Amino acid sequence: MFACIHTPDARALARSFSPWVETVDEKTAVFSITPRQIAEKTLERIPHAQVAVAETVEAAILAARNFPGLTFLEPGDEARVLGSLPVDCLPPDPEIFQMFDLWGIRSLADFARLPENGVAERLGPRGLWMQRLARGALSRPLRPAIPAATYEESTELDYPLDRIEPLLFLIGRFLYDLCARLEAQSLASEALHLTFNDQERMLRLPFPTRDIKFLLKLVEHDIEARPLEEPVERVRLVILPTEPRRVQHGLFAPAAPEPERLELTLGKIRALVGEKNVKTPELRNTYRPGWSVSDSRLAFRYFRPPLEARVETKAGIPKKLWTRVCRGEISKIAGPWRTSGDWWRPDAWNRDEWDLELADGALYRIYRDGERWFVEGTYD
Amino acid sequence: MTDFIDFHVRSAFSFLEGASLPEDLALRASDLGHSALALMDRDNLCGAPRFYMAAKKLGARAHIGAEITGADGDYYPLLVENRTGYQNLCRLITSMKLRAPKGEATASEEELQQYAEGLVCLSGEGAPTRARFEKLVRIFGRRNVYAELQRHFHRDEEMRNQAAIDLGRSMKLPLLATNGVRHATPGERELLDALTAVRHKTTVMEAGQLLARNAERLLKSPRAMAYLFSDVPEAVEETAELSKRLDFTLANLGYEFPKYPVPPGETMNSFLRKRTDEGARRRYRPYHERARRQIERELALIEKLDLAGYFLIVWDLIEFCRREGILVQGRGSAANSAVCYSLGITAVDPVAMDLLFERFLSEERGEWPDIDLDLPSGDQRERVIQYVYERYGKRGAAMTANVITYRGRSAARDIGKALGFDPASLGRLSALVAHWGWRDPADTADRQFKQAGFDLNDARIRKFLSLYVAAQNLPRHLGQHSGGMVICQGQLDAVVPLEPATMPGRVVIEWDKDDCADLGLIKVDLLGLGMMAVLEESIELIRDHYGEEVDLAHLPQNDPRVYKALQEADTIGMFQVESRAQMSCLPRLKPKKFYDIVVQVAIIRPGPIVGKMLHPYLNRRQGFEKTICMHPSLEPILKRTLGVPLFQEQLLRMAMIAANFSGGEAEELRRAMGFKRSQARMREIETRLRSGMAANGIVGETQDPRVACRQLRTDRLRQRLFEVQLSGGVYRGHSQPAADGVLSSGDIGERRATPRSAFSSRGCDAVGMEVPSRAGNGQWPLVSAAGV
Repeated sequence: MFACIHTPDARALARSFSPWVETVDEKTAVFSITPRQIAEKTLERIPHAQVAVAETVEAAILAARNFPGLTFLEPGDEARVLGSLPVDCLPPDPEIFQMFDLWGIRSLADFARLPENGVAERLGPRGLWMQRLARGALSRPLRPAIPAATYEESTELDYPLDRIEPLLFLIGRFLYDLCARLEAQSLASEALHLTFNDQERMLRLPFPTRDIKFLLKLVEHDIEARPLEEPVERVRLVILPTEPRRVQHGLFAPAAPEPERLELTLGKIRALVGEKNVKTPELRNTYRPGWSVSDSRLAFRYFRPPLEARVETKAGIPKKLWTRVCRGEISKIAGPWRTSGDWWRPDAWNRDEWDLELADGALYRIYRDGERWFVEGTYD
Repeated sequence: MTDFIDFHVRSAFSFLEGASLPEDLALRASDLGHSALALMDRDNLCGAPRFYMAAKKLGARAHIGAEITGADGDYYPLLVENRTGYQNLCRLITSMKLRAPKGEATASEEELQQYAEGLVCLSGEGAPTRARFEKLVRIFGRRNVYAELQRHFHRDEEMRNQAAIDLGRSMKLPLLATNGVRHATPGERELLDALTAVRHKTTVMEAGQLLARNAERLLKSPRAMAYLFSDVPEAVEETAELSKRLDFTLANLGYEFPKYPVPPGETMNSFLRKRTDEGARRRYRPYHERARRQIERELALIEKLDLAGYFLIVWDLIEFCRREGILVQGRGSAANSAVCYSLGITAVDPVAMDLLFERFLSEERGEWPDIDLDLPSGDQRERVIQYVYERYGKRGAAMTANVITYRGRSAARDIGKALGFDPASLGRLSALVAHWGWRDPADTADRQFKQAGFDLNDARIRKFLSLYVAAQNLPRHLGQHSGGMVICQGQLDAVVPLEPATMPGRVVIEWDKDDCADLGLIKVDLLGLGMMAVLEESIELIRDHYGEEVDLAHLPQNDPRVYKALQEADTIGMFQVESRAQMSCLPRLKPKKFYDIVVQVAIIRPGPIVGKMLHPYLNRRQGFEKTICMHPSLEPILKRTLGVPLFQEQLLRMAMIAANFSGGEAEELRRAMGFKRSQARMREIETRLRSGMAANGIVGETQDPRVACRQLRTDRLRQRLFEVQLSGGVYRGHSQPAADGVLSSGDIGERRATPRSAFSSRGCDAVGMEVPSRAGNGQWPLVSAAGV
């Protein structure tokens, strides 16, 4: 069973019962113990402490925080005992609490009584989690508070390494040990701090991981992108630990590439073209031509650079078009489509565009810049 | 010629969603050859009176409408077809606004249905779907729904247009071309973008696609619109048909001032006559023949102009105050009326003072008289306001609005923010423009900006300057006028939309005092005046401690002690003449009679000071300079003020004589001199003034002094006259400690500029009494007046 103590200096008190103690917060500590032990020890120590004994971690926390003195939650009886508590005892969530007000739910018993399916539909996964908590039915392992460990490996070599393979082999070994230690503590890595001789380099990871192959590949790409300047005699690797990644893929969320693969691909590209030349495309919030998505419903292929054209007009409307790649009578035309803006900048724009169809059925977009005409691209 | 009328035009009264004033839109439309135009602001009719007046002057028709935000997130462009439609639109806006917090008002479908009669609905700029069109037809009726087409050269808009054309034709709804106007001229698009950034609390650089896509939302000529819609000519032709159909204008507003309920067997005239007679017997002791004749003359004119109801309603307010023990005094030109004096509205005897009744009410001017009431500020004034609401109903009375417009600092701050200036530059820019007369940007801008460390060659600074100038006078939001109340026979919300005021229990109409005057809505000003509270408590103290009853209507006009104090500039605590400027001038002007006090109050004003009239007057008065009049024709007007124009009335009469201004033009001049309206209007009048004077042979330097009228703000002669008389009177002799006591007592004293200790202790020392103060229980202690 698990016991939780909620009192100032709870952790020291808890440690006197058991070395395996989880510190929930400054005043709350939870640990594994038998009911008899706790009853005896608590009575003789602090008469005002709030102590609860339950089969699950969360039920013990909930009871210790909210009931005075000693509370025993018999297995199977959690919902009844906790039910008398007001809903405010649950972790705060404005949206869900608003719904409680609306539904007239005051106590945990009221909440626990609601059908699970209905709660899931109306309050989502968080609501369901809270309901299980209210029923004392939420089960999770204990997360003991362990003094922060350092995840570091280093070595001094007898002879300098001037090739990448043996170096990677060495780093692979370090990673194998360090990741095993991370796994033992349910942790992952958020960055690798590498020191070759006196040269330091930091590899920030886009997501927490302890995948050795992936980490090793990253190191390899990094060394390729930024080659070492001299043979290596000393190697040091420090892993900065963090909470592991927990991902729940949504049924309707768009599928994205595996983050590991994406990062590796990006690493390869960085190694090829240089770090500064890798950017993420983003849509500009403007109507400036070429900077934003066109308001057309058809897919559009830009010519880079635009094709210079000769255009014959009649009453301001284009009639014939000549360019390097296409020419002929314009059979249909729509426009002008007019945009202007950025009037506060020296490069303010003011442009008229036309969409046209040539006799062969091809669709083009042309625009005029001063006296010159250009074909901007073609509609697929 | 093609006839096209734009029915979807937003003005700057859409508050940050339009960039042109209604007057400018009307003028531009008229220049472009529109025979009519419809104003359609967002959820309000604030700009309608100004739009209507401007169009009327230009000989164009002004259709009225509003874009109403629906609870479904859509909006409904509504046009008024007839009086019922107008009343419904007013009620719809009122009901949605009184329900929701400011800026969040929306109309439900039930409300739209309830107030749909007499309104025409356009399909708007949203996606034209069959469901939406059917909903509009269900609410407004098939006859009253138009499929709206707009063309601003966007691909997606054209797709919407094609869908609207198809739907309109299939549902047999007429097509109507509009341009969804947001500004009058192409240049104003930049201002619109800046205002959009202000509205979204961002900068133009960050605003991105919130800004206009191009500058096509301007007023276009009928020809341009006909060309634009040459493939659907019926959409343009329909606009002329719709214009013929909408026969409502603000000329037939349906406003009626409430009738005063009189006992059976009485008419309002006979009732007023009786009340006046009773009052006159109390006021005039004895009730001499001159007063009798004057009152008879006034009553005859009041009857002729059918104004008895108005006087009785004001009298009713005065009676309420009397019953409740609230000190109230009329101010303004009402002081010229013996009837007002008899009814207890004012405390000045115009017969004895030789004041001209025609200044208050004249047959020729054809406008409602203006009676302003001064009340002690605070709770007592609020009680009177609540009494008006109670008596005429929550929707029968409301406060007038005060349109807060962009001026100096506010314009600089908002425009500067929109252009992305950092806070430090913003501070410097607004400080710069606050001291700099923006009226003449061309003269001084370059130098002044350079001095402040800004380079006018920088594109952004130049843009700032031009937008700052363009933003002047644009409405920013609607406030509440300090005291103007409009009362209506029946429901005021059928005449003008009402909005809730920030103060609970108050309702505000959407028009300001000039709009009300233009459209013939009558208002009574209930103004709060700290000095009234001082007087009220002084009278109480005098009564309690000296056993003397002070009647403000019978204060002596020639108490030498008052004039001695004035001449010695011993005026701390004397309303209107206690400022440092006043005190420094008093020993030079040396008031000897009542009219001198009037001059004294009028002369320390921005107008006479900027117009360089102060020194000539003082020099002439002290005999250092000869009294000469600028032009012989002006002598009768300027004689009393030694040839120097000091009062607004003098300027108006000078304009009438020297520049042949008609009464109406003079009235326009008076309004332009008012604080709130455009400087452009003032310049326009100044040009007319100068040409008129030139026509009369007044040229060269002689013209110049009149330019000062630009600065001569509403200087209400008799208002000052009256107030000074009151405070001066109470201040006489042995009542001084009482007045001092009240002034030093805290809540009133603290609001005044003069330090409390300065006047209280000195005033009391003079008569050897202790400085009185309120005891902990809020009651006045007994004053120990040893020396009195």
